[in-house]
Amino acid sequence: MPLSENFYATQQIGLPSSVYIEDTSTGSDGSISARRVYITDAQNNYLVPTGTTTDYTVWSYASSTTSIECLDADTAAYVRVDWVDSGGTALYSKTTLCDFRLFALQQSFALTQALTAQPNIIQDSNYWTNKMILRCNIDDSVEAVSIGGNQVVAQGALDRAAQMVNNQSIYF
Amino acid sequence: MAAQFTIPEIIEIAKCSQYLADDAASKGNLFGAKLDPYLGVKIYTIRQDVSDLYDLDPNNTNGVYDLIAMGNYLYGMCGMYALTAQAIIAGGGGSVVPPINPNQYIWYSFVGTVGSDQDNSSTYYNSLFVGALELNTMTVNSGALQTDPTNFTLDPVTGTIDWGSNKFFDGDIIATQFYRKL
Repeated sequence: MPLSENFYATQQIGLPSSVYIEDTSTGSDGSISARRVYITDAQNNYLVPTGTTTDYTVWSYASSTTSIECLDADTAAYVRVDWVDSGGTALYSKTTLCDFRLFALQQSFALTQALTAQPNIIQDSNYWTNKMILRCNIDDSVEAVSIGGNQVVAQGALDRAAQMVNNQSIYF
Repeated sequence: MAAQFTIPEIIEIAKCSQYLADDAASKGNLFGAKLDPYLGVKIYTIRQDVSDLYDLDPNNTNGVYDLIAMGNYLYGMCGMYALTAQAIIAGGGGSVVPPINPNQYIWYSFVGTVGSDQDNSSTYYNSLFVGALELNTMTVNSGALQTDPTNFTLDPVTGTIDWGSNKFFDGDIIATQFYRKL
């Protein structure tokens, strides 16, 4: 039974700079020796861990999951996984547009967490307005990817959210 | 008391409370009841955080963000609408539901997760798809846009999407939009 290639890319709480990928392929192909992961941002830059000299990150075929630390900020990225043979030839390939937004999400979580401990924050000037704008940008990025399949629009929303996260003393 | 509810239950209560709050505000109840006209939006904002955190860490083991406290806060924010929402969810809240015109349609922006019971199957069933109209596109795990009938077909009688030679797997995220008659 040949390989029916598939994977799932997400992030794990507390690790906003990492991309977690799980191989959910079915079937098998004895010619496969490794996987290569290409992560491309909206400017067509390849995102790889520090010290990597190739455009891709090698993912051992022995492991069904991998975690790649390659994000400096929230990123709408195309993730391409190639299943390659010993010569490096791609036998199977799959590409998915993903919305990696954990930096902004964690900021939003922290704001809500702060409300649970100190509910009167809700009365601070512009607090709610700015929290809702942050949330709106996060949701915009999700829908730009899931409904529109538009990497640039998603990245724009993530950049707006990042501006708020990086200047939280002003907004919150 | 919020503690008796699970996080998914609180999220469902919040969804219902959100439109109840918006409905009350739109009817002008705020003038007599000191109702926050932005309560619906605030419930939405917190609900999305709780929902996203639950998706990332359902067992609340991250040690940084307290999902239970956030869930309880969300429940508290629903205020007087929480009980009505529970009644509606349980099917007994008809007295507070606005009359429905049977000729109206509702627009769904659907995002669902494939369960283990439909793992490794070329078909995906959801009861919301029964009677769905104009369900022409979908994405799986934010992938390429899939179109009907090129990539998949929907049987609106059974509520089943047939993805041809492709397969759905446990945990796959399916996003689509469609109309249904009320």
